[in-house]
Amino acid sequence: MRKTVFAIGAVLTLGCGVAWGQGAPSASKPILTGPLAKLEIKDAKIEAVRGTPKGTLNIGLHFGLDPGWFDPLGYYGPAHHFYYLVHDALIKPMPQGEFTFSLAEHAEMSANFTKAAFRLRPGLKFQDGHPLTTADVKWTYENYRGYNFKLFQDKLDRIEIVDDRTIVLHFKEPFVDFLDLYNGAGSGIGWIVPSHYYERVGKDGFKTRPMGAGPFKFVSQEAGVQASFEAWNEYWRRAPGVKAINVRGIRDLAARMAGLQTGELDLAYGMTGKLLQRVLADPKLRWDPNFTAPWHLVFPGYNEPSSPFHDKRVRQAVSLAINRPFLVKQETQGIGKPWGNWISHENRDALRGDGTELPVPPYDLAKAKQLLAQAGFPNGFEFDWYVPFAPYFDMAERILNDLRAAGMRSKMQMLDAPAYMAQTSKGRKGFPGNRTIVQRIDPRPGGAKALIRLYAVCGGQASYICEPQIEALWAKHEASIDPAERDRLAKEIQRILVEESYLVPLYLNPFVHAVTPKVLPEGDPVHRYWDTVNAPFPWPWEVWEVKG
Amino acid sequence: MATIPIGAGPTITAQRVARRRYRVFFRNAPIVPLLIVTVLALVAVLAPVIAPHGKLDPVKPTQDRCLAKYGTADCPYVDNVPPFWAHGGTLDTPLGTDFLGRDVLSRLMYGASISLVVALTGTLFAGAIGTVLGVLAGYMGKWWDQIIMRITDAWLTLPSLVFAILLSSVRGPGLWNVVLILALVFWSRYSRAVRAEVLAIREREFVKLAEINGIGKLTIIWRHIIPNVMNTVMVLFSLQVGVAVIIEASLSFLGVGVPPPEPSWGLMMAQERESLMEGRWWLAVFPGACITMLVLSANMLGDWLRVRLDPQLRNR
Repeated sequence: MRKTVFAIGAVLTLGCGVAWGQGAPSASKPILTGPLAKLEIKDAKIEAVRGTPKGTLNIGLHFGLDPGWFDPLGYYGPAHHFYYLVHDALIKPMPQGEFTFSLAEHAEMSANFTKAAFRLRPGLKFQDGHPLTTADVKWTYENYRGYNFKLFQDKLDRIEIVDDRTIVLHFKEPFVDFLDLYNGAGSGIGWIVPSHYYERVGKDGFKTRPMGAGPFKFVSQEAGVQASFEAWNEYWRRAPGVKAINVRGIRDLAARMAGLQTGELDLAYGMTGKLLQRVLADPKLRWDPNFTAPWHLVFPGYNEPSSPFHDKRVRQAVSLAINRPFLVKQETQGIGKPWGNWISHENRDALRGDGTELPVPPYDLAKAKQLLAQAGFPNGFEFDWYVPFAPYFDMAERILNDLRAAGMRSKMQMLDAPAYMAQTSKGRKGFPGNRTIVQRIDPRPGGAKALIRLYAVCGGQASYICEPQIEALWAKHEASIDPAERDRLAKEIQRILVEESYLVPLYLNPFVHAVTPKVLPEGDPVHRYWDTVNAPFPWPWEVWEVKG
Repeated sequence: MATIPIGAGPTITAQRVARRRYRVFFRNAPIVPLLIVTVLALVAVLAPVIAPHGKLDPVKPTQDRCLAKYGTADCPYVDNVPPFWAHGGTLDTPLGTDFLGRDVLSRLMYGASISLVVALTGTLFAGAIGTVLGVLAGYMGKWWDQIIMRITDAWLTLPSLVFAILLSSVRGPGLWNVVLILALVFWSRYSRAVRAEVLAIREREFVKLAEINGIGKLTIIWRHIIPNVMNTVMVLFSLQVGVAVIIEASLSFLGVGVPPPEPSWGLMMAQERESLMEGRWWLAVFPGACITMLVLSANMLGDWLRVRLDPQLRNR
C-alpha cells in the first residue's frame, strides 16, 4: 500500500515537474508587466462529460444565405449566425456574459490601453486537426477586411508572438474600445481563421468550403439556398448536442410556417405579421419574443441640401407620421414596444427609449403635415425608394402607407437579404441619390459605442450620418480614457441623433421564433437557447438538443 | 326580246361589301374572350373614374367597424374584410379589403391597367424590334442575315422567365423596366418568324419588279415587305400578350417586377400568400382569376386571329 501511494506521488510530481519544465503557462500567469486595466471576462463553461450528438436540427432562416457570411475576414451582415457554427473566437458573447473566454483562457490589457495580451487554451486545433496557434491569431488580424478593419490597422503598432499560445498586440495609442470590438460580436477579427487552409484555398474557396475551430463542421451548401453542418465531436468545450444542422433560407413566411407544421423545420425565425397569430395559437409550437433591437429609419444623403430630408422638419414629419402603436399591433400582435432609441436597451451605455431616458415618439399626422408645409412641401413630395429589411415587406408597406397619409409618397425596393446587407454595409455609399429611406435594424451584443462608430460618425464604415456636432463629441470620446466620460459622451450623441431625427426609431422588435416539439427539453420554454444578452440568433449552437 | 337596261340590275354598294367583309371576318369569333378583353380594357382605361376607392389608400373605416375589429373607436383602417356575401362583408368593399384595408376591387381595376399597359407596350416594343431585325435579316441577306440570326438563335435558347429575372435584377424593379424586359425577352420570336416570311416575299414578282425598276431597298422594305408581314406580326402579337401578362405577374410575384404599393395582379397574389393559410382565399384568388381570364382570352383571340388571317386555314 505504502509503495502504491509512493508510486502515485512520484508520478504526479514527475508529471508536474515535466509540465513546469516545459514552461506551459498557467491560465492565471500574467503576460504583461505594469498596471493592468480591469477586465470582466467570464470563464467558459466546459462540460465535464462529453455527450453524444443526436438528431438533426433544421433551421428556417428568414432570408437567403450569402456564402460571404462564412468568412470572418470579410465580416458584414448577420454572419455571426454562421461564425458560431463553424468558427470560434478568442472571447465572445455567451450566456455567461457579454465577454466570455473561448479560445483564449486569459486576457489582459495595460492600464493605458496600449497593449492587449491573450493566452490560448492548450491543445487547440482546427477541424482538420491542424494546431491553432498564435500565428493564426496574428494572420487573422493582419488579413481582416470587414467592419472596422481600418481602425484595427490604424491603431496597431505591432504584433508580438510570445509563444504558440501567448500573443501581445501593441497599439500606437490607447485603444480603449479594443476589447469591445475584438469581442466576437463586434466584428469578425476576433474569429480565428486557419491561415494554412485559407492561403491554400483562397478567399473564394474559403467561402465555398469554410473551415474553422467551431463546434460544427461545414458539409455542403447550395449558394443562397441552404447550408449543412455536422457536429465536430472534438470541439474543446463540449460535444455538440445535435448531430447535424441544416440552415435553409426561406424568405416566404407562409413557407416557414408550413415547414414548422409539417416537421420540415424545427426552428424558424421571424414569425411576424400575418401569420404571427397562427403561431401564437398553435398548441404544438413553442415561441419566444426575443427582443432584439429597435427598427429604425435612416436617410442616406440627407446632409446634401438637395435632399428633402435635409430639413429637420421633414425628418420629424416622417417620425410623426408613423402610427407606431397600430403598427406594433398589426405587425407583432402587440408584442413589440414603440421605442425612442435606435439602439437596444440591452446594449451597454444605451439610452432607454421607453420614455425613461428618451421619449417614445408620438403619432401626430396633423403636425406632420404642418411641418411638411413649413418645410416647403404643402402638397407633400415623392421620394425615390423606401428600402426595407428583407423580408419584412408587409411592415414596410404599412409604414409607406403612414407616410403617404402625410404626403410623402414612394415605392418599395424589395431586395433579398444578401443584396440588402451588402448595400447597407456600405452606409450612405450603398444608396445612390439622396431621396431614399432605408429601414434598418442591428441587433448585436456589446456597447452602444460600436453602433455609433459604425453608423453615426463620418468615418464609420457603414455611416449614414456625418455631423460636425457629433464629430466633435466623438473626437472627445476617442481621446478620453475615462470610462465615465466616454459613457456620458456616447449617451449625449445618442440623444442628439434622436432629437435631430437623423435616425427615426420605430419599435423594439420582438424577433419571434418558433420551435416544434422535436426540440428538447419538451414542453420547456425555448428561451434557454437564447440566453446570450441581445443575441439576434440562438447561439451557442452546441447546446441545442433535439429528439434523435 | 327582253332587254335589261344598264344600271337596273342588283348593285353591290361599298357599304354592303364592307358589311359582308366584316361579317366574314367575325364569323366564329370567340365572343366570350372578346367580351372579357374588351371589358378589362375598358376597366383599365376607366379605373380612375369607376373604381369605388383609391388604389393605394385604405378605405376610411366607420367607428362601428373599428370597434368590432380592434375594440377602439378610431383606427386608420380595417384589414381583411371579406367579400360582401361572406359574414362580415359589406357592399362598400364588394370584394373585401387587403391587409392594409385597401379595397380589393379597386386595386384589381387599377391592376388591370398595369397588366395591360405592361403587356401591350412590352409586346409592342418586342414586335417592333423583332420585325425590323427580321425584315433586315430576310431581305438584306448575306452578313446581315448571319449576324442577326445567330444573335436571334442564341437569344431563343434563353429561358424567358429566368432571363427576365436576370434582367430585372440588373435594371431593378419598376413598371417601365418590366416593359423594357419584356421587349428584350420577346423580340427574337418575332425576328425568327418575320425573317422566314420575308424570305418568301422577296422572291415574289412585285418585289422583283420593284427592284428592276430601281426602287431603293428601304422603300421596298417599307412599301412592299412590311405590309405583307403584318398579318404574321399581328398574330404573334396577340399570342405573346398572354405570355407577357404571365411574365409580368411572375416578376411582380417574385418581387422584381412592379414595385409595391402599385396594385399589380402578380404582386397582389404574392402579398397574400400567407392569407391563404389563414383562410382569406379571396385576397389571392381574385387577382389569380383576373390573370387567368386575361391570358386565356388573349390566347383564344390570338388563335382565332391566326385562323382568320391565314388564307389556307381560313378557307378550310
